[in-house]
Amino acid sequence: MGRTLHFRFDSFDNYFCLMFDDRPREPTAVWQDDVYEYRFHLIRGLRTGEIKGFSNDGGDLARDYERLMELLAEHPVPGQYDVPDLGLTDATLSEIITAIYERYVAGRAQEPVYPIVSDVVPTLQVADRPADEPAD
Amino acid sequence: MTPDIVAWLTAPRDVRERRVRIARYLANEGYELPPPPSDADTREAGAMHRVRGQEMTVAYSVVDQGGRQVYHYIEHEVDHILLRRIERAEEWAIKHLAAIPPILKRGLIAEEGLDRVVYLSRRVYVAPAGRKYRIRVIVQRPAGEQWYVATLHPRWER
Repeated sequence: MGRTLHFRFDSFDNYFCLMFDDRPREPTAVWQDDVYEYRFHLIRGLRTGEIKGFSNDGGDLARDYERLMELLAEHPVPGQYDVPDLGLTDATLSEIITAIYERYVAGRAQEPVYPIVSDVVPTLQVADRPADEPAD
Repeated sequence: MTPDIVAWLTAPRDVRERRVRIARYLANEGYELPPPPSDADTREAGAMHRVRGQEMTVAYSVVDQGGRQVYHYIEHEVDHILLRRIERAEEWAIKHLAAIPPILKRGLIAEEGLDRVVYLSRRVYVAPAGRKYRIRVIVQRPAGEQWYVATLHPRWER
C-alpha cells in the first residue's frame, strides 16, 4: 500500500490537487514548477521541507497533458500512491495523472449544442387534410 | 481542509457571501484578506465577462508589461484562488493578493507564451518558517477570450 492522496478536481480550468491525507498541517509553497515548465509542481512544507502533495495550479490539464507526461518521464516523481477517490492503489504519479485526464478531461461528456436555424418562429401550418388521408 | 469546510465555504449563491465566509474562516486561522490594490484600473469594475463558459464580475484590470489588458475577476478570486490557497495550507500568502498589479507591471517574466504568461515577484520574502519565497502570478487567455489572472501562489526560493 502506498501513501494515500486526497484528490480534488476543478473543471473550470482543469485543475487537480493531490494532497497526502496523513500530512501534518504546516504552511506550504510551490516547488520545482520550472522543472515541469509551470504545468505541474510539488507542494512542499515550509517548516519540515516535506512533500505535501502535487498540483497543476496555473496550468490546464487539457492543454498540458501530453507535454506533462513527457516531463514526468524525464523527471519522474518517485513513489507509488493510493488515491481512493480515483480507485487507484500503488499507482505512480504518471498513472494517477493519466487516470485524472481520462476520467475528467478526455472522458468528459460534451454539452449538446443545438443549431439555431432561424430567429423567426414559423407559424403553425394547418393542412387541409392529414397528409396520409386519402383524397376524396 | 475537509470536504465539510469546502461545502460550507462554497454554499452561498452570492459571491459576496462566499467571500465573507472565507474571510471568517481566515480570521479564525489568524489571517485576513488584504484591501483591494490601489494601483489597478477599476473603471470596468462590476462589468460581466464570460470566462471559460462562466459569468464573472470584473474587480479590476491591469495593463501588464507586455501591453496586455489583464482582468481580475471577483468570482475567480473567491472560488478558485482563495479556496486553493486554503486547501493547500497557503492561506498565509493570501496577503499578497494586493501585489498582483505591481508584479504584472514590473515583475520577472519566467515564461511568455501565446496563451499564458508566468510572472515572479522581484522581491524575495521570508515565510513564517524562515524560508525564502517569491510570489508567482500566472495569467491566461482562453481561446477567443480576455487575459485574466489565473492564480497566485507562493514559490519556494532555493
